[in-house]
Amino acid sequence: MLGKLIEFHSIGELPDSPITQGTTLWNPTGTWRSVRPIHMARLSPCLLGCPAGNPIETFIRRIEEGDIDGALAVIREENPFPGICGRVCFHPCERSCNRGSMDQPVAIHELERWVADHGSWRPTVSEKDKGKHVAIVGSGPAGLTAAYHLRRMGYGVTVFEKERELGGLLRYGIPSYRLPKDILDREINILREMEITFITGKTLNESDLDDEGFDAVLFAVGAQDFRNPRLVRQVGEGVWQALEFLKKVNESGITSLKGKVVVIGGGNAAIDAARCALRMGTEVTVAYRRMREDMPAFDDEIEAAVEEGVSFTFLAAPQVVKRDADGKVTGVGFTRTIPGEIDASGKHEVTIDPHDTFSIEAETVILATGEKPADLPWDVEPKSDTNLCETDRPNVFVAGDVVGTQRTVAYAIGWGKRAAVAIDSYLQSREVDFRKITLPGGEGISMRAYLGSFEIPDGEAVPFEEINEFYFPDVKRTKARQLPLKQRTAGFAEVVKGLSRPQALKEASRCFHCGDCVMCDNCLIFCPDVAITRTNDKEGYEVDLDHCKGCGICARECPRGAIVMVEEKI
Amino acid sequence: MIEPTYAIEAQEEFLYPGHLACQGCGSTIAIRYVLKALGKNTVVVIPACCWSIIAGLFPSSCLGVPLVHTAFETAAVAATGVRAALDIQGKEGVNVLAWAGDGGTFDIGFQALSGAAERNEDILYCCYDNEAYMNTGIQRSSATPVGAWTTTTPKGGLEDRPKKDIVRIMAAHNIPYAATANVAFPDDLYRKAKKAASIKGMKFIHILSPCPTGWRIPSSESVEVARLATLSNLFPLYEVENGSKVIVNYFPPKKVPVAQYLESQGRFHLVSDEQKKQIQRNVDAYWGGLMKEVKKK
Amino acid sequence: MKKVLMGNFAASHGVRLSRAQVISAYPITPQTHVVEELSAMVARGELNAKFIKVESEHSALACCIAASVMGARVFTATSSHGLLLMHELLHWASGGRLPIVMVAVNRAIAPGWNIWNEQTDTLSQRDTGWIQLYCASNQEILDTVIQAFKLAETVKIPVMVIYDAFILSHTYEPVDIPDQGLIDTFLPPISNPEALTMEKAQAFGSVTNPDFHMEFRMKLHETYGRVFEEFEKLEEEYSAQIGRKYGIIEPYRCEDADLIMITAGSLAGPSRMVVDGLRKKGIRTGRIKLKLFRPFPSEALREALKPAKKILVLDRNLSPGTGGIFAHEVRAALKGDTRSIWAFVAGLGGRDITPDLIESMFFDALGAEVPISETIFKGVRL
Repeated sequence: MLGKLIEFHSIGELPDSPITQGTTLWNPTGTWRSVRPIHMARLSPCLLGCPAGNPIETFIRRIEEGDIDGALAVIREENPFPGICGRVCFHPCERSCNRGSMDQPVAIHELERWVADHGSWRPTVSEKDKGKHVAIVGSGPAGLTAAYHLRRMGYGVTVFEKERELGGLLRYGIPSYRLPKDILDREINILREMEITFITGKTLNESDLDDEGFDAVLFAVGAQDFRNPRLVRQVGEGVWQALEFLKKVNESGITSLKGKVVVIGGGNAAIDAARCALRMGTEVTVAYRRMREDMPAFDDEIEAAVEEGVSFTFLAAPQVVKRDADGKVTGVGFTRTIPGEIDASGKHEVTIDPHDTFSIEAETVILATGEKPADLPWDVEPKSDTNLCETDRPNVFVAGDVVGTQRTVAYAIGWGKRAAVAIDSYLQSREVDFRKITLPGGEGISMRAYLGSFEIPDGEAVPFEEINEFYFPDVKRTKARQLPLKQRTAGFAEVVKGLSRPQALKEASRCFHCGDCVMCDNCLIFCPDVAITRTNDKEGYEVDLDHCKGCGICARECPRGAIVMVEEKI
Repeated sequence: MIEPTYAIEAQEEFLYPGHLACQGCGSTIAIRYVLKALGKNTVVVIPACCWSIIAGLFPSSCLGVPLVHTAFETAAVAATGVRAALDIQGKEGVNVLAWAGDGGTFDIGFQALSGAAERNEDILYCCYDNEAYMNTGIQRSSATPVGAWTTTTPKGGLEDRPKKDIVRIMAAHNIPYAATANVAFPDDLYRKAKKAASIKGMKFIHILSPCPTGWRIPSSESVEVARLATLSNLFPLYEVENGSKVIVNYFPPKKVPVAQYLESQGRFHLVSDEQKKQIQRNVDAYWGGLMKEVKKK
Repeated sequence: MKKVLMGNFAASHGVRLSRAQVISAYPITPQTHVVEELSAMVARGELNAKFIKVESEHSALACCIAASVMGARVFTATSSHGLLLMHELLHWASGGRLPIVMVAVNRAIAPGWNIWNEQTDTLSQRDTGWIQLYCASNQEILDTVIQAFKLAETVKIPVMVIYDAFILSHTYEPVDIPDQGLIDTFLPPISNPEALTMEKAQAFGSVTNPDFHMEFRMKLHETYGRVFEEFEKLEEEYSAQIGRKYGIIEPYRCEDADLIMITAGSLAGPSRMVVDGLRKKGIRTGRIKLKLFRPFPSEALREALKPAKKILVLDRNLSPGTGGIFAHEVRAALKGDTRSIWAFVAGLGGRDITPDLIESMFFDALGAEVPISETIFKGVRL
């Protein structure tokens, strides 16, 4: 705001001595600058790192503000299952977290779980009934997420699940010590509260589509078929396909195993199977044809398995299941493999050395060498060149492991969101502006952006170089409590106990809030020209452009890159 | 709750925009917090220095309190005169603030400063130290540190004399309060100014105040560079009460090499690695001395 | 009340009666007694003032200036080197339109060190914008100090009250010390409308660029024009209350004088004696005592000099290369005048100026139509 310059029109108006008559407010020092500061909401890298599109920095901010329920509410605008993700996700967000470049990343995974376990939240459904009904086939994370978002939008939703219970791999694949069944039910029950119809033990026929009045159908049927054609012939007495084994365990169908167990494979299914076997009182060895660092399983899981006492042997390619005269399994014959260069997939190439053979004794063999997607019913063909889960039939959509290559819960949830957007845009005959809803560089989309309550900030995510480390004291990352080692393998009780409240608050305080102004006042305090003030409602800052000289101290002292210096247009 | 970084209660501003400081000037940040601490009942005295200009040309002033411009050598004694006038007129509770650069404090104004200190005049004297005669175009002063380029310590002859330890000199006058402060630590500066205002007698605060123009740094890095000075122990934050009681206010959480501070500024770009090592030794020795002092309370 | 006082103490009493509020001074021979006595007066509770024992004259005036800016009535005293050290700030005081009163005792300037009477110190400050008043007796010192405060506060120009080293400063004379009540009526408490107050956030002395500086100086210059009438007015007032008056010049027996000598300070006395002596010998002489030097009383001087055929100026000072400073000013005031001016310089460094020496100056002028040189040094020894 400019003041007025005092003027004198005659010598008589001048004071006798040089005594000032007014302030310097008239002086437009804003004309000195060539760049100006703009308080700008910018992307935090964690947001880009999450395939499910969790609003990570935002929910952590709510925690710090003491609003746990608000934290949970904002997560559930994107992801219905924080209680699940906070237990089973491989948290790629933490790899993106800028805090990791200072000391260790924020324990986002644990915070998500803590919020889900301690916040209260009730689902809301759009008041406007869209008058259309969607069928969703498959109640895994992709299907359930799509159901959740479509129901929120005001559609009628029916979920078909061929198994007896809901959840897909969440129930039948992931063991209880990672994801307790009561937690799974707690998470899924929010969908029941939304009046989504669930039909279990049934498949959907093509004719049902019109008969039942479904305006669109989504196939989210997963990838649980055994992939390796050579090894599948070995399945039989004493030789399990991993997902079958896990399903039996999760149905409480197997409670003990005799003899040693060999698990073939290096993915999460292999580790899950191994840790389950361990809990059933056996010695377990996991045999993988490449090296430890090539294993696709989550690092946390591998470390947990090692801690619990699972043995590992690497560079081992299985050749034959050995049986005795009665047909009982006695072990597995392997050849060593020789590691070569890193190939296109980022793993070591291996070549078999046929002369270097060895055996591992076992009475149970579990084959966890990978899955392939289920065959889509009704001869539906997915379109490969679309973001919109489309198939060759306009009202049939696909999502999740059945079409995706990154087969994890977080990706599946991301798929479910995308499918909901796709189906909504189809049913409303409205084009989707992907620019507005895609999280740049990441895999996820923002449902809040799609529904209009959020604008994805322009530009790149705030890099670590723009974080002012001085403002963040040294606080070590909190490790969540776990069951004592001996107790873990005694049964299937949950191993990780989660954070306590003080731990959660302390961990949340480690978040930089990259690109999100939290009103720390640094810009206001350090401005040499007193040109930054709080707005009248105290919710933001305004820059006095009449006087701001563009020195840039505000941007430099902003701890979190929430101020950008932009060139003045000439 | 996410709290503001720096706890500074006083909201009223006594520094108005439209002043004539260079972009990124540290001294304006410094006076802003000193005046917030002192409040409206303050008279400021400014000798010849950058602030003679920054304060604004007639007929405008950028301060919300009365201001007496005075000749170069006279900040401390003009402040004395102001105090004498206020006292004899029965005007109580008014702070008198002498606000001078390093030239008017360490050099030409030193006599008057020493005189006022020896007489224990009831004034707060703040030296905003940008480590050279900046107003006249960057000539060295006795506050210019070793290795610094100035126009009178140019390429062939960088400053080679150590900086005068002005706080110790002032403390040797046995004044009630002497302290260092840094614009990068505004809450500490604010607290010290407030503390000084509550003491009767002579108070002296030496404020490190970067000059982007003379230090050859981008204007945006003013605060950061000042911070590095303290983080590297080159400019420790401490107080001396009654001439002898030393209180160290800030212990950097991790050791930052002095070289990082030196390399952040163009004025040190000709300092050799050998000199940097010597400067590090000097800094370590001084800090070590301070540590011994505070332990032997 | 009459007391026998040295000139310095007369000054102290003048300051006391004027109720100066802030006094800041640094000792220098021969001023020291002024401030010692003031310090004692403050200590005895006779004067309610702040006495700042600064560490130099430059600081003394800086202190006074700042205190005056804040609206206090201030006083300082100095001499010779002390005055010269203040030089920078003399300009500041006048440019700042501050009603400061200073006693300056005329003492010679080094090198070599010389503590004795010479007028060069104050005269060399004639461009600093201070009003200068020269005193010829200790009574005049006391009265002039009081009048100086009134004059300064009326026109807002600082005033120097000047008298000779030792001849006046250290010499005892009977002095009437007026009643405090009378002085309080003559000189009420200071009220400077442009003083800084806590109610307004104003800055004194900011940068005045070419757009403003000239007008400020012009205002000062123009105010000088009011000094003659203001001084006359306050002298009338003082005279009415206290009964003494001096005038900006004091002509003595000039109405019918053929030769008139102009001089200032304590030389007023001996030069009057010499005039009387020459008159007895039938030589029509007169003398003019210059009291007000800045602003220079050109008009009054020209008027008083009308009868003279020859004009003499006695300077106890020297502007090297130019000559006596009073002579220089007189010549400027008399431009266009065809009469010869004898410019005598004597008594530098405290060398005695005897009545005989002064008389010889008159005879020099009598014995020639034009002076033998532009500047005539008298009483030269070697």
